Amino acid sequence: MTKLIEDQVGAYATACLGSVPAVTLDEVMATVGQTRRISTRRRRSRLALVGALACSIVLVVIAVGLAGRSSIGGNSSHPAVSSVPSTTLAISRFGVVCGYEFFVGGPPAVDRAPPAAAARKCPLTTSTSQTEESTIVLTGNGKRYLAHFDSQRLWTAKLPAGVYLAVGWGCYPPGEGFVLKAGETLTDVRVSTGCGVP
Amino acid sequence: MRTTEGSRPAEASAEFVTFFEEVEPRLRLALVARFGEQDGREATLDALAYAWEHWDRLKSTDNPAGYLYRAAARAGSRSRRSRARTAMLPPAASSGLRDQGDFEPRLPEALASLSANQRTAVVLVHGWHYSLTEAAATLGMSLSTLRTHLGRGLSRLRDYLEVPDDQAD
Repeated sequence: MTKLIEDQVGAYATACLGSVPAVTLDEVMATVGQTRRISTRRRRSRLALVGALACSIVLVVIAVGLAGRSSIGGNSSHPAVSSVPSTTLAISRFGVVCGYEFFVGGPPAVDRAPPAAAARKCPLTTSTSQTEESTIVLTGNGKRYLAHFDSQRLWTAKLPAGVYLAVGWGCYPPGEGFVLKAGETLTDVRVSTGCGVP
Repeated sequence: MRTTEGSRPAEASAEFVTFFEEVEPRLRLALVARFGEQDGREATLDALAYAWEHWDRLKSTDNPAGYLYRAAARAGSRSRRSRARTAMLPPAASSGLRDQGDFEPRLPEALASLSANQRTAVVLVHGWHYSLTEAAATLGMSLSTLRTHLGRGLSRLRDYLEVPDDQAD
């Protein structure tokens, strides 16, 4: 090997790289047309993509809005129950007819069996928690509902139509309850804060 | 305003043809050195198509060829990022000259190991015997930058091929 690197690069370029065919004007013009077609296609597909994205966002917003309306509040103390409209969405969408028991009066009798009717209609886990005075949260099937209790011992809850509401956990005769009709708002569930007289 | 192939005046077309004939060879050689045979030719085609579409703007620049090369190099680097980063230079075996000792068989891989700018500078200046001024204009870079790429490229080539110092000059 006696050649300088520079000379070797020259020999290599001549032997190997010089064989690349020249670009012709016709090829350039063909590429111009092709590029335009590709650009148009890209613009269209981008437009379609943006449109689909916008539609998805709108649908998600609508779904979230409707889902928000289907449950009564998300906070155990706010907002007021009466401000949330009732809806049938949760029921019609998931086909669930489920019981949400009122657990009222002292600690929930968790060691007792649930009412037979409620147990039959709602195999899902339901539970409630009780705040000090005015509000209880009914949870079940991933939803939360508020029921308001006032000084007159009047519980007011606005629940989705079709929800089975059982009252009398342990203290009341099993199976006593209500099934809300479509659009109906249950506003007069009278229960006791203790076992015994409603 | 965007010009179209059909609406371009005849004198502009003639002007472009002149430009094309002058620029195509060195643009192709530079881009082949940068990206390899196949990608380099494609990049040349894309660059000249771009030149035709933007001829009105391009012809008013100081160095249209250099501008085109830089644009093609940028676009090529982006579009070829997912592929092998090294240029696909033809192997020595394809030349049929290996036995004649014209160049070291490992030279293609040594060239491919250089940075794109170093490789292009080395091939244009030492492969195609461009003057430094011509090469700098083609690559759209200053003379001093070209010299830097050239010096580093040759140095790395020598290291890669383990060329003794006494053969460096």
